[in-house]
Amino acid sequence: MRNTKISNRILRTIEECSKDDKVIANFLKELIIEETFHDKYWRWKDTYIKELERRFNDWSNKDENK
Amino acid sequence: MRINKINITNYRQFRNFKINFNKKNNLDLNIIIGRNGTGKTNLLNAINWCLYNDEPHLSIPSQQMPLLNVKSIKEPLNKDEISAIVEIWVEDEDRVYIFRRKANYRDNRNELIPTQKTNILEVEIHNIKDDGNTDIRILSGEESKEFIERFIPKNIRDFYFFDGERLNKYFEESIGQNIRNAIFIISQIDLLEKVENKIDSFLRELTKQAGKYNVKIEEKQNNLNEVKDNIKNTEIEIEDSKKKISEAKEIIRKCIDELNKFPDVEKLEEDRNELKKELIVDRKHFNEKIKEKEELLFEYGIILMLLPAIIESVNIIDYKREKKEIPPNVNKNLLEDIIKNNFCSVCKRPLNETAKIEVINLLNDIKLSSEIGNQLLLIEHPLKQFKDKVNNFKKKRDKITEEVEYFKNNINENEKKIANIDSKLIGYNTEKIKKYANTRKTFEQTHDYNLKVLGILTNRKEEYIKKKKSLEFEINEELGKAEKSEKIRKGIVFFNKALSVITEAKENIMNKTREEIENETRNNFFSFIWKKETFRDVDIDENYAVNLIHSLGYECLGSTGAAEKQLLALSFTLAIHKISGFSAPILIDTPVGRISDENRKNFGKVFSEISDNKQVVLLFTPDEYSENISSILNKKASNMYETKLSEDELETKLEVL
Repeated sequence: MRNTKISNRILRTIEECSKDDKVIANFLKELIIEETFHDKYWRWKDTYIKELERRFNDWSNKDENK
Repeated sequence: MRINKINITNYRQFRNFKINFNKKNNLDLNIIIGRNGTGKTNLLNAINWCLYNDEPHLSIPSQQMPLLNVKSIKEPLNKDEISAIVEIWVEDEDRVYIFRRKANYRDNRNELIPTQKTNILEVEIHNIKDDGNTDIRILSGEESKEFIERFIPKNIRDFYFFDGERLNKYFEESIGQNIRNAIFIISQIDLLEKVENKIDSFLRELTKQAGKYNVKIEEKQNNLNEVKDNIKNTEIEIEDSKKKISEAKEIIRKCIDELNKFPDVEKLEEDRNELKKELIVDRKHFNEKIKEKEELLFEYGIILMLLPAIIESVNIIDYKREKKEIPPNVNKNLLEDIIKNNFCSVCKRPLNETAKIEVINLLNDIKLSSEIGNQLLLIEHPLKQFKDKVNNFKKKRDKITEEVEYFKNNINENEKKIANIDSKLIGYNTEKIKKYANTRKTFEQTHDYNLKVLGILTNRKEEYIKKKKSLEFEINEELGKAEKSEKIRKGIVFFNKALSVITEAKENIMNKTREEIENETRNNFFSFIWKKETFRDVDIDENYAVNLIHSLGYECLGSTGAAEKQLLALSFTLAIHKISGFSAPILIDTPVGRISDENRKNFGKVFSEISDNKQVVLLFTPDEYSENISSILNKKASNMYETKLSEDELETKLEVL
């Protein structure tokens, strides 16, 4: 039976594929966790924007420095 | 996770039924034995009803009965309503989940079957905290359904509730695509796909905004969207091709399976055709020889009829020759003329009395006229030729007779062989055989065609991906030109990166999951299988079509026995559980119903081994639970129960064994 927790494999693979970009990795992990707790109909845009805003500046500065 | 207990009230033949699956000494093998009709299968139905509000294993007699317990309908109650309730207690690490479905019926005694008024599902989540206290959260309505759909999705129930009677057909029913979809869900790849789609939709919106600052961006973005749509459509087509390949393989395998049930039909048909050809040739030769014989008899018929006369004539001639009567030395006519004329024409003088008497005596001595003698000489040679010919006839006749016999024997023998093949084929439905052979041929063509299509589509997708990357680069360059759109550019870069990470993660997980499931299935199968030398490998392709490879190198799932198929299904399921982190018990109704007695012992060992790592619930009939299997499982059983019907046969009772 399915665990409501995210499987470690998913989170590990996201980290691996993000390479050193921890902001992107955390952003995606957060969205995946959010998806676990919601079904078909939910106000996902708000959550996605919130998560983007939370991390974007941080990422943007790093991106600029690259 | 494991099922702790099930409580059933007024559901079908369960009036007030409680069953515990407590672990004992760390053992987690639960055995329920019951005759047919005592409620074993309805226990599975109760679980399904509670979780999904359906009863997939309902027998025909049960279909005729109301869901509400018949006894509860008959007995007088003080309440207006009666309820059917199924409650499943599930423990998972530090949580206990209670799934409860309750159908309320208005107790209208005038109705034969009360009307269902409400059907409510509740989920109680008990979270045990470190301090020992418990948080309780109760979900109901849509929330409870959604929870179950996430916790134990309905479309993957086949991976934990089995009907043993159908286990050997597992690979026919759950063909690759279904398995693939199920793995998609239980491996949570569906979550990645949801995030992927939403990020993509965000990205499109963001780029549309950027288009306001630069027309070229909008134009390129439209192209990009088109390419993205093309990629998605191509992926759908690829999936469709893969599905068709998978289905074709499955149908080919089924046809081979069906054809294998007949005595090597193709070979028999070939043999039959060869025999038919030989028969035609032999019959032709036989008829020719018969005609030859008839002609011979006709040719020799008269000679044969005259043969006694010929032989006698030849004998007479020989005799006459021996007596020197032939060839004639005195001419009879001449003597007659001498006597008549009384004058010897030889010595040219008249006859005296003495001479006349001498000539008369000589004439009397000549029995054959010289004419006859000459005639005899004339026919002697042809007569002897006829006699010789008759001797040749015998040789010829014997030779032809021998040949006729040879072809006749061949014909008889081939006719017998054909009759033998026919009797084998007639026993089966030859139309059916033809149908399977034709279907196989058709689907072999479908399979090959779709393989080609798949190659073309895969190349096409790669081309689109290249185009997509190039357009993304161009859009990024255009965005860089407009200062105002800098923030949007960064947003697009961010989402693009997030999208590529999630797409890569999804593909990695899908590939790794398949590889790991393949390895795990292989390991399970070869650790369980008793015929270690018969099989070489287990192969799972990217569409999750499972194949068993014979030690001689060919795919043999279609022709493999029920026990081995069932074992492969179990190995595969356990692999899915392990690799996807889908920790579930396994419940099997009539687990060895189709397994021969000798293999039951092997299955006993397999179930015993599985129960070392997960909860196993097995529902046997008493016949099924024979000495071969019980001697192994009794030692490992944590709980053993027997289901029995009450005296009035309306209620299932549970006895602890």
